[in-house]
Amino acid sequence: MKKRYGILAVVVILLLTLWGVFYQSRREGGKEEKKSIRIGVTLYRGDDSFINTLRGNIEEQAKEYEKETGIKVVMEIVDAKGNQNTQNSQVDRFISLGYDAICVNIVDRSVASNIISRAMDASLPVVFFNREPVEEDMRRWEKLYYVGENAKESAILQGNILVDAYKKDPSSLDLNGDGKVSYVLLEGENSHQDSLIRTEWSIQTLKDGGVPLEKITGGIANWDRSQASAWMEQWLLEYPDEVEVVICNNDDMALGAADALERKGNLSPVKIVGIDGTPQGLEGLRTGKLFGTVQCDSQEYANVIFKIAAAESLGQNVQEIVKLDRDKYYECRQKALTAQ
Amino acid sequence: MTKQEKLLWTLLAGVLVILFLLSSTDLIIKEKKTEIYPVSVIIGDTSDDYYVNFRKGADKAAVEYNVDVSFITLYEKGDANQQIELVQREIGDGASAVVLIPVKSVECVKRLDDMVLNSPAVMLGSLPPNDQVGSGISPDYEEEGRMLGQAIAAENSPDIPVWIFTEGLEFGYNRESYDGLVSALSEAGFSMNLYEKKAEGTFREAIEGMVYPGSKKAVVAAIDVRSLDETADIISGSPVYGNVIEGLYGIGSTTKLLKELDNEIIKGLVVSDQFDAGYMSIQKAVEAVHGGLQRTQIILDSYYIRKANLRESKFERILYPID
Repeated sequence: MKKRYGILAVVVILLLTLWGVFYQSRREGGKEEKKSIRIGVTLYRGDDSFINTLRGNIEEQAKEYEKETGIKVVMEIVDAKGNQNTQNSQVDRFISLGYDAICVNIVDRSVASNIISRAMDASLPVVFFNREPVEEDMRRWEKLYYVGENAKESAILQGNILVDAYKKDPSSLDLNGDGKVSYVLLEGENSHQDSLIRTEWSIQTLKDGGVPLEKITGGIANWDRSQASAWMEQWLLEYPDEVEVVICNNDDMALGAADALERKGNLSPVKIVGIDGTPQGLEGLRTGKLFGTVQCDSQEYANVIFKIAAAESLGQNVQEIVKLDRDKYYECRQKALTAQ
Repeated sequence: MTKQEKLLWTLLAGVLVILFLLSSTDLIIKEKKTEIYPVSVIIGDTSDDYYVNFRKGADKAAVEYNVDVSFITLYEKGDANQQIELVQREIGDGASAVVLIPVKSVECVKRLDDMVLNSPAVMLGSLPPNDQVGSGISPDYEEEGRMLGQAIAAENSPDIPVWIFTEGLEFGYNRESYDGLVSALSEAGFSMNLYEKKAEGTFREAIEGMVYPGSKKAVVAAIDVRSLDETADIISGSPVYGNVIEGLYGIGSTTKLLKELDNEIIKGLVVSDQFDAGYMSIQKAVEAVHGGLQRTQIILDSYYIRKANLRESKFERILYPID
């Protein structure tokens, strides 16, 4: 009799536990086929020309997708204004509003783990773009992706623009004919991996290409046009008639250097090269302010970011939609452009 | 094992199960849910680039009133039919309320009149006859045009013609602004030319035409943000244009336009508080969802500003609102 009561108690307890688990899983798993998706995008700085171009292209992709598939896309794009705390709050908001996927242009790549942890807790896939988190962080979860351009390739293409010009006519770069090409360098950010790689490989390509280089000076302008302009103005005062080439980690800074030359009324044909191929940079090429730039296909860039986010939002297999390197990386194509 | 011990073990197991159900499921304790109101803001443009301050205001209200705001833009520029379809789609998809910034005011109001809306709406413009639209929020567009005309008249000689640039009089409330501007300039004895953007290069061609010998100087008044932005870009692109254009004036207050005012590319601007417009549109939408909104037309104040006014605290608060 006592044994029967014991067994009955165990059965009741087991049934209660199973019921609880079943109830919960049915609530969470009972999803219908999605007719709309919500994607949050957070930008490290909305006033960066390249990021702004990318933003516009991502919005275009979302509209195209909506028209093609009939699946409504609710996309919110927010600007972190260079503040990691702001970006963390934006991600928290996306999570609390039940977004299906987020695209993050992270402010500080070294603290991506914070966002990754939150996203993992909320089962929210993350597509990082343009600013790559460290590999250790990227390996933490299979629903983390990175879309960007190969910084080394950008730098080599940029360096080759100048190597080709030098080979064609050394005096086009060596303006004073002293046998050396004197350059100044405008770098993006301190300890930013793209900035470091772009600088290193651009210079290395020039050296490998046989261009006799002499560095006058350099500065960190944080990818920013006005900061670059301020640096250039100062260098033109400190080293009058010495600067022959300005090597910049992006187009905005290249245009900033051109602004300073224009303000000073400098008529010597200083060669300025940038990277990104932003609309402003291309306009600079057209008007002769810039000598060359490296353009990455921003349509393709935006397309891949959006495709991954949309596929994850719908629970599709991303690998079948986008060909990824190591299951999570995508590098966009690039090409060198010159004024000629 | 005694009977008491067995009972104790059974009770302990029971407590463990209850604790499990309490902590891991919402079977016993239901999580208190905050009601979130989905509100869709349907912008009469293909992007929200010109709505930065408006968005800041809307986002602030969204946090305060538990609103999930979706900003919806058009696929094609100037497509009023599509905008109305988007209103219907958003309501059909469960929006508690919609905020409409009409792409073509006359056409949108006409289309809204024929519709039955299942959710309340707030209009960024004049209050239409449809009872489902609970509130209209906007500056007095005609007054803005008049204010711009009076400023131009006060700062320029009537001998110089005024060229009025617009993306089109049928867009937004451009017709009202135009009427106000024309009335003020006519009173002051100015001659005027209207340039509606029919093709990509309309404004550029008009400005380039002034550079030729024998051409006279002109004042340019751009009555909407898009045309003002484009004109400022053209003028800042070449110092030559600055010599033939006596002054560029306009209506609108994006960060870029304010920068152009600071750089003296633009001489004067008529502005209104876009942050307040965004905030109030969400606030009124929530009131309408609760059914406590009386049909009202809110008129926003407009101001004429020049470069010197940019640093005044009153205008700093309006023009550069903090997120």
